[in-house]
Amino acid sequence: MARLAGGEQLSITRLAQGLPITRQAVTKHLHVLEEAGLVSAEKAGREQMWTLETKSLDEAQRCLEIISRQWSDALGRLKAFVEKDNG
Amino acid sequence: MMSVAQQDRIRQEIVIKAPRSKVWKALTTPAQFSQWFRAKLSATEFRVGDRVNGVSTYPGHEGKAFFLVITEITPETDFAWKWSPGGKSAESEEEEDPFTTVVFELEEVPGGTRVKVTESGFEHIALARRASAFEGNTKGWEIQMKNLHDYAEQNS
Repeated sequence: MARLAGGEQLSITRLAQGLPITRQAVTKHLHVLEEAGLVSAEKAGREQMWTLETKSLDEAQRCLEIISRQWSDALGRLKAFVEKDNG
Repeated sequence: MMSVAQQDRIRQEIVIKAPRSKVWKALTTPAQFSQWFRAKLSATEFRVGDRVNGVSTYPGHEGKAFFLVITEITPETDFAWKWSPGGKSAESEEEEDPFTTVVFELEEVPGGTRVKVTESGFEHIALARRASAFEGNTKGWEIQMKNLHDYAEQNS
């Protein structure tokens, strides 16, 4: 993911360079990320070029912020409920 | 850049000015839980392994169904469940959605009780659905998500 964060399109060969895992493992990982909508692939000749879907990441981040705020609100309600009832 | 792994969990905490036993009761007694969590629950008692059906009483969200599967009860210390709010299985028992896990941890601190809540497992679920499950302004949020999605598609 960090290698794609620069915004350029990269091939499997470039992505797997220097990593202690096989190209197959990298490809498998990329397909999982693709299913999650986090990266996308485009055919360029015989190779697949991979791009980071930054918008999906932003979207995921926003969802997590919403869920986080919901928990913060819920804890606030728990606190109010317990403290009000404490007298 | 934030990694996917870091986005897998959410953690929130608060200090409540009350004894731990009192906080524990509010958390693990369905009748009390219902009030602050804003949901009607099918259970009168939480037991590990039980599926507890809930209906939201959250303003703007009344009537929305969800369920919890209680996974841990360690008195006055840990309370955990798995769930899939916003998921298809909330409506039908046949559907199986991936779960996220919610863990409450209680700890005595000077002047009260610290409550930590952690929800994890987000990499397996449809985040937008989960985010909108208890969101007051669901419609607005769904429209926003759709706009964002359309925008992303047009510009990819």
